[in-house]
Amino acid sequence: MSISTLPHDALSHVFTFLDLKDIPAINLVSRKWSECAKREVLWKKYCKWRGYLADIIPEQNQYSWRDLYMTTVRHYPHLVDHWRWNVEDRDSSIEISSEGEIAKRGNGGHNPSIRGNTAMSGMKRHYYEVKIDRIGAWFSFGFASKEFDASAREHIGKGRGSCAYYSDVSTHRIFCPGYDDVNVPALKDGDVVGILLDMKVGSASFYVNEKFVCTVNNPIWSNDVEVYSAARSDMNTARSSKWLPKYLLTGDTQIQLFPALSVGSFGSARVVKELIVPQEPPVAAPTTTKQLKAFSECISLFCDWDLKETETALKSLVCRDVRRFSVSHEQL
Amino acid sequence: MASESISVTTSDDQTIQLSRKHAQMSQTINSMLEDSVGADQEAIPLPNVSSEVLKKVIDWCTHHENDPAPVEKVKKLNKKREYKAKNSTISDEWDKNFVNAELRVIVDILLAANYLDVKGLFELMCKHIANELKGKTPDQIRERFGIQDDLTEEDKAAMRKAWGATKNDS
Repeated sequence: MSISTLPHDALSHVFTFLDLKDIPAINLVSRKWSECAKREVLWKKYCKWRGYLADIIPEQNQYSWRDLYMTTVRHYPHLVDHWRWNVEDRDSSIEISSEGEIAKRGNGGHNPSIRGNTAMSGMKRHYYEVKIDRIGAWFSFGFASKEFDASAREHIGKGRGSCAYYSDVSTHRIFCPGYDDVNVPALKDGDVVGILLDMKVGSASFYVNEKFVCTVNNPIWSNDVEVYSAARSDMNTARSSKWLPKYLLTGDTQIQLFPALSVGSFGSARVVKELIVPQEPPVAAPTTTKQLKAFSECISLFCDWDLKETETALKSLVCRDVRRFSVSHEQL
Repeated sequence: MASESISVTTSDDQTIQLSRKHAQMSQTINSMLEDSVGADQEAIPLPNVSSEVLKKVIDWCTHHENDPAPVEKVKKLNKKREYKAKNSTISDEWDKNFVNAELRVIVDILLAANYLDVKGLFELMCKHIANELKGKTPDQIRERFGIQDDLTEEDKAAMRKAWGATKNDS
């Protein structure tokens, strides 16, 4: 017997263990293989793996996961980028694996930190995660501006221009300058910590194992003048607590934040994924009802817009003019 | 009462005895047994499985007989890992050894596991075959698995277009 006798379902199941990069080759093997590679079970997995729409899209929706995946990836090509730890931007006591996925600390150093290699900026949302391979003596994962000094012996969340989920034996909280205590659940080995950073609203939401934990508003843009100036010193603008509204008005995209980690002795963390969700509308308008529906869900989900209104707005869109699309959404 | 061992007849007309516990790890045989409660214990025909392959399946069942019940295990995993990429790493040392066989045998076991509905074994074989496929070009895959290329050039061009140029293209 050969593999050709395998039923479609079984073959699709084999493919669910593949990486996305192997799928193009599978499509070109034979007709049967290409049919199996189009199966929903596979695309559902990739959609979920990318982290979007996971909980929210109910199973009974009519459009296909593959369409959704392809549409989304085509419109947001940077979704497929992964961030890595930045070997140039770390305290020397933190070692990085050759592929840059794992940051590991030995016994040396004092409050060492490391930043990721991808700057998050603009009026966008960013979602990124790390998995705790080993929690070590303590663990602190969040984000930091360029001003944060990775070798300054201050951990992420304590140092200037940073905010983090911190956990050790007795303390578990969100550290954020100018923000009151937020107590959160303890972290342990194997947990996945995720952060949804919304640069437009100025909020950061923390997730553990994909469950929502808490949201901190204005974490970096707080009224704390020092923090504010730390994040903005490259701009040399006047120090003012009214800066946040100005940022919102002008859409200033100068701020750059990086995923960042500080870790206690023998701790290590692995990059899981990054999801950048632009607030900008897609370049091309959806053309079929199916796409429209998928798209409305996508947009309403990430922008917290009402689904019905989003759909109506999309429907009223008669041309592919991005600006007009933009305007109709601003009005929502 | 039901006896402790079950006999089955394989595709090459051999009758093989296996314990009830192992037989019940196959959902297919299990449901056949439930259907025939009270009837005389005749050998169950398995026309799609050869004796060589069935022995392999029994080997695997023997090693994994004390694993948690497959249904519960699958449910639990789904709940916990639903949004994670499936990991194709085979962690059990014994399993690693088990899949270290000729591809022909592996495919036969996969087909048998699918037919007999032995979940854990099926997962294991899928993982192994997925690992075999990783990083290969379409030509290499066809050669390795003896698959006929029945796609027209137009089909291929359309797929390349849909996916963009890939380095796996031949």
